[in-house]
Amino acid sequence: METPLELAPGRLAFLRSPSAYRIGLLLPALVYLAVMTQAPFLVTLWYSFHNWILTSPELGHRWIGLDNFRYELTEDPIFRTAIFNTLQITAGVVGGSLVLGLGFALLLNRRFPLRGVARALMIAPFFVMPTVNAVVQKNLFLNPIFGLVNWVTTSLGFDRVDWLATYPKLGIISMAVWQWAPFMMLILLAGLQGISDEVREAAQIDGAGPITEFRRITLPLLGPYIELAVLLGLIYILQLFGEIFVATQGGPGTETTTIPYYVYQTISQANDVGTSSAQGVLAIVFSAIIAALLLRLLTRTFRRELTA
Amino acid sequence: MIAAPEKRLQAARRIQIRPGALGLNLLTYAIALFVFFPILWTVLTGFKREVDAAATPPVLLFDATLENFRAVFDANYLSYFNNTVLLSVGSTFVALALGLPAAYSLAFHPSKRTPKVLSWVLSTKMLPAVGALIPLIVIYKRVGLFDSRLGMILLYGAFNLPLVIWMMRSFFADLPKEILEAAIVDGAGFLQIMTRIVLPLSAPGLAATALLSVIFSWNERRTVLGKDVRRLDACRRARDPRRLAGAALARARTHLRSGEVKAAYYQARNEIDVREAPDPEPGPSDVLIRVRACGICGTDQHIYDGDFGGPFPLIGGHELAGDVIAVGRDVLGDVAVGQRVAVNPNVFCGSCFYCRRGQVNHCLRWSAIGVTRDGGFADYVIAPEANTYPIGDLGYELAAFIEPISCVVYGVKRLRIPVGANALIYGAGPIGLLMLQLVAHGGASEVAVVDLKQDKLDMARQLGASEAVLAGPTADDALREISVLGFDVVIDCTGVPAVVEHMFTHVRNEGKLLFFGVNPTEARVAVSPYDVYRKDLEIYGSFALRYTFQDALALMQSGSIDVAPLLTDRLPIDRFPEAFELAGSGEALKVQIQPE
Repeated sequence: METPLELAPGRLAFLRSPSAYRIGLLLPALVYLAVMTQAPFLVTLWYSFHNWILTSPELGHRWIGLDNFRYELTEDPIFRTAIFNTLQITAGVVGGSLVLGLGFALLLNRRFPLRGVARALMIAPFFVMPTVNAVVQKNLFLNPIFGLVNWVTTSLGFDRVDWLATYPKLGIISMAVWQWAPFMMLILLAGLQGISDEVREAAQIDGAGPITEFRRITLPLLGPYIELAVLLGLIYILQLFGEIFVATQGGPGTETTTIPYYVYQTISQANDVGTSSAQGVLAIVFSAIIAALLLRLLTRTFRRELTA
Repeated sequence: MIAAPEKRLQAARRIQIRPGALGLNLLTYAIALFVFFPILWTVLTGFKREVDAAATPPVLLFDATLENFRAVFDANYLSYFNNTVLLSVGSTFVALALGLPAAYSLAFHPSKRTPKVLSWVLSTKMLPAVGALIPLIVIYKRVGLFDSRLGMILLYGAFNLPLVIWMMRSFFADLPKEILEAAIVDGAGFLQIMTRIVLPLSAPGLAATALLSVIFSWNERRTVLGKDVRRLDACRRARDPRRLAGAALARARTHLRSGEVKAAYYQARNEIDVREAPDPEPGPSDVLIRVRACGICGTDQHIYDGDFGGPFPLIGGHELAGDVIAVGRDVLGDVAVGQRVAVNPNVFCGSCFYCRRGQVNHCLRWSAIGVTRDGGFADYVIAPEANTYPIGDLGYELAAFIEPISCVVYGVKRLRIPVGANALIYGAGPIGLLMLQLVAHGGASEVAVVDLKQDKLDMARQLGASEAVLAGPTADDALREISVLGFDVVIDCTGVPAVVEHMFTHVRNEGKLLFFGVNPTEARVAVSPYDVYRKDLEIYGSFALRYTFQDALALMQSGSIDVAPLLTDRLPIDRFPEAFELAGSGEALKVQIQPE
């Protein structure tokens, strides 16, 4: 990589150097990102050390050190529930949508008539706004009286079920999976299209059946994309809000109160800026831990696949 | 030469369809339809009447109706839609412009810090959006990006940047490095490499990334941010305004600090000064309003001339509408932050002699916003909660007419026009034209209007006058031709003493006279007591308004009164002197100051 320097002796030659490339291309994005996201984050961090309740201006805006964090981690029972709910719902949504998305992607990564139409139909759910999705699913499909799902199940002889009241987590998960499977599919399909046909051809010539081909060729080569899809999906799904806001409002009880929804309740209903900021900071830590663990797990899995 | 065998290979591959492919195809179609079904069903439901939509078993054949869509479009859905498109595309553009080079750098020039950079980039997405809301509002207000499209585009650009960097880096990393190295050896620059090699080779990835970015901004917008912040605010306050009074005030103050507050002062008699004003400080039962429209009225001319109101310096403007920015600690909750309101400027004490008898417009401690205390020719104004009327979704421009209408309503109420009476109105200015409509509305059989200007008379005809007579030497004959014995009701909306004197010429026996226009305080007219006695005349005065604001609002909301043609000019506050001159010239009808 030293050659460019010799080839471009002009005054702008330094622009061709790898390190100028690296930094010059990367820096604008990083600076922008830092300004746009870290500034609010720093303000949030600052608020998290304060006792500031909007509805009690007489208490003022008082520095209380780590007390908000102590309260959230040791005393607040709902925060723990929220972590647990977030884990369950996120695992359900990420897992479900990954499996479905992979299935969709494999089905679509073939030549067949009307492929474009089928792909468009399968991507469509992702275009639906989460809040709209939740309204539709809640009222048209999961409604206990005139929902379509109950019409199907009662027609088949089952009992009527109030889905969102009886299985709130499952309801939220099913709504979100319907939305996120297309997301996984989009990334995985783009990845599948990058796998060269020669490799698969070679496997077929070596006598690999479809299942072996999938396990030994497709899956390992798709590994980085699965990682990517899971990681990006995870970051977004940890923030799942619209569905819960519209469909269950965190209920019944605290059954579907996730961290983002709890943060919302704290800021918007309790008007407690300090506590909600601390919760936001903890949410980052929580997300980072989950992401790191998951990333390690995924990398190890795919490495084993490759070497096995 | 290499292409030929390649083609053959492809052809061979196409033929080599495995058994069960048909089954797989059918399965794919079935799944695609199943996945798409909720959307299809939603669309179908959009065309159903409520009864059909809720029917079990679901109705497949139904009378399609477009009513639901009409309702949506009536609610100005399209403007939201346009905003959303602009934001989604704009933010995706920002994210791609910054993200592609960054992804290129991370993919092709990795260093040992690359993984750290990548995790940091991703970690910026981990703060729940709601958690960052207040900091964002605070920061955006400081730098003046709050409530602007640019601010939103920049914000969503930052939301999508991690997605772009991560996805594109993965796709770039899969490209064969040899091609790039060859290109660099050949002396290709970044742009060339990007446009000629990297982007074409990773086209599917780029398409997927751009699509996702657009969708994410599309969806994000509707959940928590932007408009919804204000909606949430409003809903919350409506639930319990007192709990939130302090918060609202604190927020309002930040808001005020962020931008300059401008106001037009009557600095002294016949002297106007537009300048920066101090932050208005609402009292416990007050409401802080951001002014959106404020009409200039004849009374403003009188205040300017020093005949009425004051003391100076004073911010004028008493025909105003706007939105509530904050409410004081002790408000009762009939007005909430975020609501559109119109303001009744008349403030009464409630405990003086007249107030105790219900004559609140004669309150001995009477004061009025824009007359004796600071008014609406400003970015912000303070009004007591009781003087603030929620107007639903009525437009601000129209709502600023409620105050003059309520004065007219008060006059007409006092007058009690006999059904079938004929009426004569002097003056076709804004007040005359409102009076005309209300008199016609109130049961008069025909209404004649007299004015000096033909265009105003044309407007009067358009708004329902049965006769329009140009003032001048022939006017009396013309009026006698219309009604030989005169009119049951004669109303002056000019405030000119000579006109008031002349009213008696055309009043019928047992007729009613209403002095509505504001005459100079020292003016005197000659009236024949004998005429009043002989003709059984009734003479009415009508000062300001008395509990008629709500009625005026109702007339406005029902569309019974048409004020749109009366509004001829809209000017920003910086051009107040010009606007004031225009309003006083008689050339314009209603002139409104609209701060934005």
